[in-house]
Amino acid sequence: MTSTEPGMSLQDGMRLSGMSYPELWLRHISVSGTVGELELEAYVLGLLVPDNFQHNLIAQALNEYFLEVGQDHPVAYRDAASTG
Amino acid sequence: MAVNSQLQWARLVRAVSDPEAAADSDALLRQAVELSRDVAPDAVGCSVTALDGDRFSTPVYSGQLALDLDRAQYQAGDGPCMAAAREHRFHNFDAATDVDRFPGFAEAAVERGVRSSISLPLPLGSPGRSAAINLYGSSRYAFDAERPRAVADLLARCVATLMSRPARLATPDDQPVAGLEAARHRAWLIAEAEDVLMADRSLDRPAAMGLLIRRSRAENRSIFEIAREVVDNGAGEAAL
Repeated sequence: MTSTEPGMSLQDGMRLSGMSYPELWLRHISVSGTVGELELEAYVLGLLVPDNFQHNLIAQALNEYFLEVGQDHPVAYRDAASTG
Repeated sequence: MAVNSQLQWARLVRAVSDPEAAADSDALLRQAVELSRDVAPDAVGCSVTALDGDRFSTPVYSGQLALDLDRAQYQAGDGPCMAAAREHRFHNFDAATDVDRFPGFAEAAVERGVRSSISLPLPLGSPGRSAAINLYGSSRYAFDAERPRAVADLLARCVATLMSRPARLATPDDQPVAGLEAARHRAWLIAEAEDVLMADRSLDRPAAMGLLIRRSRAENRSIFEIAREVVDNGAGEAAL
């Protein structure tokens, strides 16, 4: 059973950030993500469904951006308790 | 998103992302145009227009409707897909307002219940050869929202990569991706912190990453600051 915590979806976070996909991909690599840029884009657009771990890496990549502009992790994680 | 669509998207983006992947490019191209159904609810057809020299053709299409509409443009001598391939730029078509711009195509589109289309140029990286991907919709403005545009753009890049192989395989002249080295340095820091947590807490890597994420959230701090502290000072109680 997967549950998503309250907060923005990956797609909404991406839109509100104003980032380009190449920029998100670099941020994703920074937090130890390993998927290619096109695959990442497909996850954000909802064309592919990431597992919890992958979802949370993308959420963290987006939230690192929001931290830089003074916002506190607005993008939702999924089943965060179970990832630790 | 249907499971079958997800599997097809997964196969497509992974094959496109891995230049070494042994894959049937023609089959993947056919699959890609079928995936146009996920671009927008009112998407009813998709095709690829290729321009070699001064000759237009449609090497791949999702169904008869898309093929007919491409051919109607070739017959009329103009249309959004031809313009996109020729001019290397995006073309948007609305059957209600663009009759004067592309009369032959507009008539053929309306006859078949198509009210809008978009054509995106495909960067093939090959002189003398260009192409465009065309999406046909049964409603006006079928592709005008942000998500349809984003999905169409992703689909276009997948198709362009497939069509340009092997010409686009990496060469020694390729420029490195700006910022990639810095990103990898930061990833090494995260990996080091994960190693510390894995050794200290007998965790696997995803669980160690989960700890870093949880602490980043709890303290409203960058995960890189947390990772640096873990690497410098050990796991500590605060990492829990």
